[in-house]
Amino acid sequence: MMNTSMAGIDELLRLHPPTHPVLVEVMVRDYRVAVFRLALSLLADPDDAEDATQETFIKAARYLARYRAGTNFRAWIFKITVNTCRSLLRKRAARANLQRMLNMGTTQSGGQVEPEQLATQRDARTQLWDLVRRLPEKQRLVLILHQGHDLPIAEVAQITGANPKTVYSRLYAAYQALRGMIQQSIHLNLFENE
Amino acid sequence: MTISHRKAFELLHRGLDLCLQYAPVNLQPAVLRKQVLSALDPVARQRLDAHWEQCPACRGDLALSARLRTEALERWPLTARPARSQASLVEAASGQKPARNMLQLWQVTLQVVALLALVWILGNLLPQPEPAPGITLPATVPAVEATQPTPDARLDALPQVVLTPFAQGRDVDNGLWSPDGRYVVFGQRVQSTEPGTDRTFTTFQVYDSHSGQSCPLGGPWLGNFFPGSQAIWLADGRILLLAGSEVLLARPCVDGGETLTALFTEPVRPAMLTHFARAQVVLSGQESFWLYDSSTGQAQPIPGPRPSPGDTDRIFWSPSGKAFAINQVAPDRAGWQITLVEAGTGQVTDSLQIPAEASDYGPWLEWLLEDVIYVFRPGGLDGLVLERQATGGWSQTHFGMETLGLDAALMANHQSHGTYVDRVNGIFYVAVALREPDGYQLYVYSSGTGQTEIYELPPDTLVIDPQGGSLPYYQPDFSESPTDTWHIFRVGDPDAGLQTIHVDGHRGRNYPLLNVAWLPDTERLVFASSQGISLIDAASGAPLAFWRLGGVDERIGHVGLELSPDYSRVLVYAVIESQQMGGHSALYVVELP
Repeated sequence: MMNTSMAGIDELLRLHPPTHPVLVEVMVRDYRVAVFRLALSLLADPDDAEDATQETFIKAARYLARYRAGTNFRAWIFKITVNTCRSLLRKRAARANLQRMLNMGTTQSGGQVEPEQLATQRDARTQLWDLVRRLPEKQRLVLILHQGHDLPIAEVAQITGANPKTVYSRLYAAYQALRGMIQQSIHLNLFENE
Repeated sequence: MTISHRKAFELLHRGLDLCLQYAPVNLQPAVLRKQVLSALDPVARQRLDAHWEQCPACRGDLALSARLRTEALERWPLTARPARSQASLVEAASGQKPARNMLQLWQVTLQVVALLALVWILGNLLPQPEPAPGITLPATVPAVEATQPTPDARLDALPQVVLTPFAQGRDVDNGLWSPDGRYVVFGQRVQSTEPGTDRTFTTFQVYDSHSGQSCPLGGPWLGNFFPGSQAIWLADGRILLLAGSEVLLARPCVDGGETLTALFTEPVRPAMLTHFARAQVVLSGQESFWLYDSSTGQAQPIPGPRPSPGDTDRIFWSPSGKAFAINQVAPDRAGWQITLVEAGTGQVTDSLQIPAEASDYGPWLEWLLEDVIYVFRPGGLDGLVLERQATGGWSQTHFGMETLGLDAALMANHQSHGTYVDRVNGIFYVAVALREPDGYQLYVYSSGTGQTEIYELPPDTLVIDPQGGSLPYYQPDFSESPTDTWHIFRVGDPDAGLQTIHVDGHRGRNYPLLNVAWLPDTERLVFASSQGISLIDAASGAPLAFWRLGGVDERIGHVGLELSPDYSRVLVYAVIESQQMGGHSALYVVELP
């Protein structure tokens, strides 16, 4: 017997079917901030992160019956968040390509500053995650989940659909690539405390 | 023995998994090194430490991890919130139809033909079925004459009381009641004011409802901790606090406490808190489960079961507190393993193998009576009843839909299920609600009669068990003018009929959910919303008292409530929909008359 006002999603799924409205309430109540923060870290744009957050909850409500209660709700909803953000990034890339094509011949090439260039012009304290944005998507994703959101390797594996060994490999490759990029950077002094 | 760079990298990240939730801002590599090493087992610790001594690049990985975590918190603060309110997200996500698997046209056609044939066979060839033994046909519960809806003017006759929060602000957690219902422990994250640092600390405080004052409790602890997973009330009114690698025992607002860390030979964490205060507490290390006894001040490892990695084990105490169960995934992952431990000696008495589908988590169980345990998987309906045998050991009896007289086809309408226990008479009930167009059918199996009764109930019915616990089967009312009409049905006394009440004072609330809790006398109810807290007479629906939530300048959204264990007070947790950065909330205590 329980009071539902402070119960978590797994406890409520023990009592209610996935279509029960209270589950949406509790899901949003408990994961709104975490989903938004993850979307923000993946998309780097607050407006897009807002859209991704709403889209994630709409999908989660629709597919809640497929979640197996007691397994790991955070990993499940983060997986939806990651897929939603990937989809938004693809649309964003398509929009950028289209814009580039439309601008061809009307603007001087090289006159615009690319987002990545903008990112590296920020102050040194935030440059590390700007460097991360240059990594291949799979390496970037495991780094953001593991180091940006403190998710354990096993949970990163659940979210990305890779096995833990693969997650370690991607992380290892990401660290090696980051170290290489850092060596080229005169601003960062990561080893100052060593 | 030397290890490869790759192995050192894996050990670093294994240690990170174990030692940190969220890193403090400005995490120093030297601090992180210490934390990672202390989280690893002795062999791994020695190997990694030795490797780091020889490998500057690997120490560079450690520094890189510290920097990544620090900068992640600066770039995406834990308090970052979407501008869209909780209510608007709920509204957008509500009403989503569940996704269905796509069927080919020929599959649909085949199914329709098969269904029609089955209907014809059932209707013409087969004799009409009799009800199964032990199952009664649905009975519409007679309605007790409803009180007429009256305007909220009924509240005008009551004194107007406005509550002031005892804590509010950014990152205030909902609290935990002490067993005597006097104190509430709660946590709050704060930034260091020390010049040049921007570390995050967690402070725990205890609110004393007698004095109206709050006292600090240990710490501040570096990092982010929550009372719900770090604080354990003991039966004698002291509190055990586990934060980082420290174990602190304190008497709130009386003494500064003592450190118990030395009692344990390995770092320990709470093992699935149940929030029922006892003299004994089960803790989980990496090598062993530990039993700490506050009456003797001793801690002992429990010989036998080894904690699983991650928080996948579950601990459940028996009603008397004389035994507890450690529920785990079986070592071969082919099912579950339940280890029963005698609390007095800390020795394992039984180890039960439960066949089940592969699972990442141990099962849930409800220890219904001292000798009867109901084991189930969250979200599933089929369970297992374990009964202690006079000759020793436990019998295992499948408890499924057929026990309740349920047809698998009806399960698409599954609404809720739960158990109810009448400890006085040694009877337990298992109830399942099936949704219908105008309400639902409630199937109630009684172990006393071995029979299932079926009741037709309207929506928004509170089902009350013999001890006063309840399962609300309500639908949140998203309309601008919710009727707030509720029905009450008592499992232990179905002949009392169905009561209907109208709840005043909560219309116009900012958040559709109206939370409710029963007082154990089953005569009074407490409702909570952004409009306030109301105490209602269950028989008539008349308001007995109403408290408004004051002392907050911004809009209040969701409001949760938690009755104190002695039912004398209500802890109210109000989410403030602040325009400022960060999660804001306010805590109130209501003194019940």
